[in-house]
Amino acid sequence: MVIEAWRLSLSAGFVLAAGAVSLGLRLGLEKTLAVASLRTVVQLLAVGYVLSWIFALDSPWLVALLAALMIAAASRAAVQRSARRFAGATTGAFATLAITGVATTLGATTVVIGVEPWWKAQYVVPLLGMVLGNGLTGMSLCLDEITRSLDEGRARVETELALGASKWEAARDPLREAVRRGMIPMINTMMVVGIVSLPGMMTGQILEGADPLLAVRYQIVIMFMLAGATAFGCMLLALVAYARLFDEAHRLRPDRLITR
Amino acid sequence: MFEARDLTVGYGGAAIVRGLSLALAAGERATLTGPSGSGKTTALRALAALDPPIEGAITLDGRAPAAHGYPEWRRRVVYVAQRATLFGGTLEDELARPFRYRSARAPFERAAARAALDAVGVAHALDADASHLSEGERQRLALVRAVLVAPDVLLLDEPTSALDADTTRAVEAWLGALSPAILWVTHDPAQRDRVAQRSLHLGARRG
Repeated sequence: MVIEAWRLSLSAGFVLAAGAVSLGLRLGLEKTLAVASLRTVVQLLAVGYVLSWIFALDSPWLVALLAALMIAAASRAAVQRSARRFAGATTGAFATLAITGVATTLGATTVVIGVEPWWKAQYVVPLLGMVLGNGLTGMSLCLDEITRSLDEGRARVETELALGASKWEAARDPLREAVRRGMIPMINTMMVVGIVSLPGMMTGQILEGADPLLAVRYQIVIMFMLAGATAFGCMLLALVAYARLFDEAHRLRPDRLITR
Repeated sequence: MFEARDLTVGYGGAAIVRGLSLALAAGERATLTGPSGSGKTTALRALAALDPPIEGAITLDGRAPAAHGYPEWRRRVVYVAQRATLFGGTLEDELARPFRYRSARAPFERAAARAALDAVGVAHALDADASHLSEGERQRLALVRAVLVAPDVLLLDEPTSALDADTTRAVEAWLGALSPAILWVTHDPAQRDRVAQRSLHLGARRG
């Protein structure tokens, strides 16, 4: 079913209602809500036009360029959300997201879904977008935890080193905890998917009239992709942090941490 | 023989300790004294190769840390911080932890651990939770943990600062009977005279 412009504008009523509540309760959120609503409309319309244009051109180079831009934006966001970072963190996040994002997306289009051609923008762009969105959430949590535990837990790590631990032996527990933290949102989502909430893409397909059983199949593929990509993303980023924050003399290098 | 030659150490390129030289023969005891801020902890950390020196060299049996391998160097030259850091778990978990590292040379022995704890007056069972220990007990537990690793050199940063006089004497007597060479940071002149044959003094920092 197509949503006409006038029906679309009616949906603004929901936001206006929220604005009225804010005014009534003096929450002071009206201005922020207005800006957020405007941004939602402008950003989504813009992306809609861009996607239509890219789908119409159907060029693998354009898909690659768009993918690179999406990965760059996601890696920047992943690092910026963390309270601490280190030199090379954004590059590390970019490499990590590029490897995991491209591998899982193309794995899904070629092997699981069997899209022809395998780079078809209509599939690659939304799938990559979902992988990156989930990946950056997991990776920013992972990065936050690893930098926090090496900064605040410096005494613990250095006590291990002082007793003869190698840098890997001293870093192992903090790294493991960071990867675990990064995976928690994904695992929580997988535990309740279909029970508490229907994922956005599946909801969209069902609203469009797709057979729920077909939509479910796509969703299972996506959940597994996201889980794999987030797990590998967190692991790779933790290894990048390890390589940067310990040196060849098996020393912790807190001087390489940048705190906001 | 443990040696430091013309060691200059500090942070961010700014020297805190300049030109420190020392030599400790096997089993020898020396104290390191100096006013607060003179760089005693900085010096000990550098000797344990936990911080890189700005200048100078450290050797054990004529070889630098890199030649030994850093984890092996730190197993043989163990630094014990003034404030004990525990990893969580029982007393045995704390004491056995270094024996999980690849640098460990022998398996953990409960009997040796028990004897060491008794010698320093920590009466808790090995399977008791270490998180309930007092500051002084934590300090002694960290000391015992370092000694059980069987190092050649112990670098002790005010190891009795949280202890009463009697317990301090017990710890001194226990350490005195051990085989490693010890470089012992202390502010107490009487302790300096009791525990070491000689003393090194770091002057106040200039500028």
